[in-house]
Amino acid sequence: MNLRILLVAIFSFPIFSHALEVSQEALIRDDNFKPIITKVILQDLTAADQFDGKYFKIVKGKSDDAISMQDDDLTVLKAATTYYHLTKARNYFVGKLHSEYVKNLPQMVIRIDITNTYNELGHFANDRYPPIYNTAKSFPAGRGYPARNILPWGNEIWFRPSKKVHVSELPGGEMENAQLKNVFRQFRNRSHVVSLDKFMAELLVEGVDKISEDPLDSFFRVAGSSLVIELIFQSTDRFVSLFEKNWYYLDAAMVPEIIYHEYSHIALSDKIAISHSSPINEGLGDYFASQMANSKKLYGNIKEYNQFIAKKVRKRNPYQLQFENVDFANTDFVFALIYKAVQIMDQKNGAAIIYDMRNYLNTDETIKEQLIDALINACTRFCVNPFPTKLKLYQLFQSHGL
Amino acid sequence: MKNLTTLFILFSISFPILAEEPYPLTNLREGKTRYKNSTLDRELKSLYFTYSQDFLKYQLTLRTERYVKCASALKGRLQKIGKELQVSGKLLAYAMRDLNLLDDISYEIIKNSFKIKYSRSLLVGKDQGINIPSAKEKIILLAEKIKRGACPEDVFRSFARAVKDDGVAKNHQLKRIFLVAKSSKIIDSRMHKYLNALRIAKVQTWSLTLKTYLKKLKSVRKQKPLATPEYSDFITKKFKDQKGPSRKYIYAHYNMEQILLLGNLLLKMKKRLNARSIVIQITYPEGEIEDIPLNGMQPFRFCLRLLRKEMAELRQHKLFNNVSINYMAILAAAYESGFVPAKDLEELANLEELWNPQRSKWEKATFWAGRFRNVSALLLPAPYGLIPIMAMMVIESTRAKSIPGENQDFNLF
Repeated sequence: MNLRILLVAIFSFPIFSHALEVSQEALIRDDNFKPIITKVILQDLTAADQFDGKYFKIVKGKSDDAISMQDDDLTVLKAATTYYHLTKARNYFVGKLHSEYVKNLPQMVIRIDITNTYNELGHFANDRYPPIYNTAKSFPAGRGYPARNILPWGNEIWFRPSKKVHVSELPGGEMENAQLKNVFRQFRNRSHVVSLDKFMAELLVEGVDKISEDPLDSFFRVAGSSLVIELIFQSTDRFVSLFEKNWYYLDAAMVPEIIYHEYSHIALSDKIAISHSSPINEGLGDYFASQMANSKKLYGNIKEYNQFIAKKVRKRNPYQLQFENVDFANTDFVFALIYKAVQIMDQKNGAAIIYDMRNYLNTDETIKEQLIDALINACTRFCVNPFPTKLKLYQLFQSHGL
Repeated sequence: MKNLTTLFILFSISFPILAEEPYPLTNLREGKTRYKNSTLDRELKSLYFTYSQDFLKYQLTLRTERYVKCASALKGRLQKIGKELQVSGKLLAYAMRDLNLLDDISYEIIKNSFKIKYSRSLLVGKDQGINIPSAKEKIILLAEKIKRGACPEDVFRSFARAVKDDGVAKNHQLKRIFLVAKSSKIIDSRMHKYLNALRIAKVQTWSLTLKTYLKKLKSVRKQKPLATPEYSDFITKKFKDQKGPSRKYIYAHYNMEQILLLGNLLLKMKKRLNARSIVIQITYPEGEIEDIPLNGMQPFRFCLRLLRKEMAELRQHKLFNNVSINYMAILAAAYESGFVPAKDLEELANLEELWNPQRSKWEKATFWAGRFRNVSALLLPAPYGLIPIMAMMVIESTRAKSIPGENQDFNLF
């Protein structure tokens, strides 16, 4: 019996210890940030026919088995894309940022096409709960629940499947429309006031209107223009909807920057807990995603798999207090702020500076206080000329309304 | 001439180039000159081709050292050396700036002294309204001082200040009293020409003379000696609405004590900005203590406010009677005192814009457009009256500057 075990161990050793490289089609970005599906090499696989590697195991839904390379084309494409970009993200943190934490992370389970809600005790919430689509999320390791045969699990990233949802069903989807409508409302209100003023002035003082001599004609003109303004205002929503995207969908596993972003949460989780979304952890995730993607724009320009979500380093992006709330954790304010701060501090070693900065932050801290302090302190430690650079940083924060 | 040049070169080689004491006007603070002149640059290139820079440095320092306190005298000396080297005195002054023997302040004074020229066309004026008896003694004194070899620009400026009290403030008034003085035989024709040349060069309006500049510079250096020279391009630039560069401004308007006091303000601000933490402490009567730490942008704004407070207090100080204080002067004073290095200057200067923002042309235009919006909307016939309203709506909606409301009032400072 012992001899059999020894023989199995001897013959199986090369198979498990030697990392395999397999060529598969995956979605990547070209030099112009356009998405292309092309053959890539998947590294560090431990099985030639499964997405099971030294560092990542890609599974579907609640399953614990790695996806087979003989699975349907879309699943294989998703698994290959996820595996390829996760490997790239890991290499970035280990190779460029010399992260010992990431280097020593055990194999991680990555779930694609999973619709279940996460449960801290039970891992997967009951299937009766409404399914979740169009997002991705990282979860911390759990102890499991031995009494109910729920085994412990490690850090996981869940990529939800895509589903077309009408914009009207999204919470907060009317925010942008409301702003536009508010401008129209102000215009309409002021126009009516001016029309009334004009009408009253013409009644009281003759000859205010020099061009129109006929008072009746003038009255119809004033009333007519007010009517037109009112009609435009009342039809604002329909008018705006003609130019807006009406449907929302996101296949998170097919967007490289989302994969980088989620992996960044895991890589930073030695200091920044991934228990929930916050402006700090989402902003840092976006920043490292931009470094791996080598782009100021994130998530966009990939219509087939993502309609709606895109972030970019905007020129002007004034701070609002609600950005501190969990509901607005995913705005691009923090991403843009960190990106610009790095450009001021040190473009070459900026990522290393921000990576070090995580030691002085935690998930629940605020943009307006602790993030600014952390950036200023990072500059004190790493900037070549700390004092003038700190002044530049303060001016940056000032220009962003902080 | 060639032999003479060779002799000079041999002479210069046999003596050390750098003396122990630096040339009194040596530039130790200013970077690139703001008086760049392409014609003089070409001539300078040719001068350096003919004579080595070390040779020129030696000649210009050794042979002008005695004249550094008077721009007119220094000019005369440069013209003399120029004749020997077959170049203009102006070019030699330019070379001195290029070789860092002068900074922009002293170069400007010397450059201005070249404008003092004898005028040939003297028009006869009338002496009506000029109180000659009171000015008579002053003119005699002025002429005597010049004859005895006093620095013309210094005595002329003292004279101009003195007669200003007699109501002779304007240039044409000075012209008249000199003419009257000449016709009354108080001064001879030669002295008249000389005084008139000083008047035409507007010596009385110069903000500094070499004598006053050197005196102030020496006292500042004595208090705050520089370990090594440091050059800043920023300090030679003219900043916004100022008439000249900030460094010149502080030497023209403040004395040594004032310069050090002003510089100290910025030193304190810099120290505070580099503090590890800033905490406001409230001590209650019961002995309870409440600490309010300042985070985020608050320490920065707190430091700026404290600077403004200290500036206001300094304005009230007896040392600053009748002298204005502005941020750029504080910045230049801090640099001159060695409290801030050159590399910090530009960013510190940008702060001025931050806490005292200037309105852009666009903002000014929208302000006036807003003022006339309602009037034009009323006067224009319908539906054209809506155009100004629409225009203002577009302007207001595109203007990114947000005005913080109550819910944005999240900072203590």
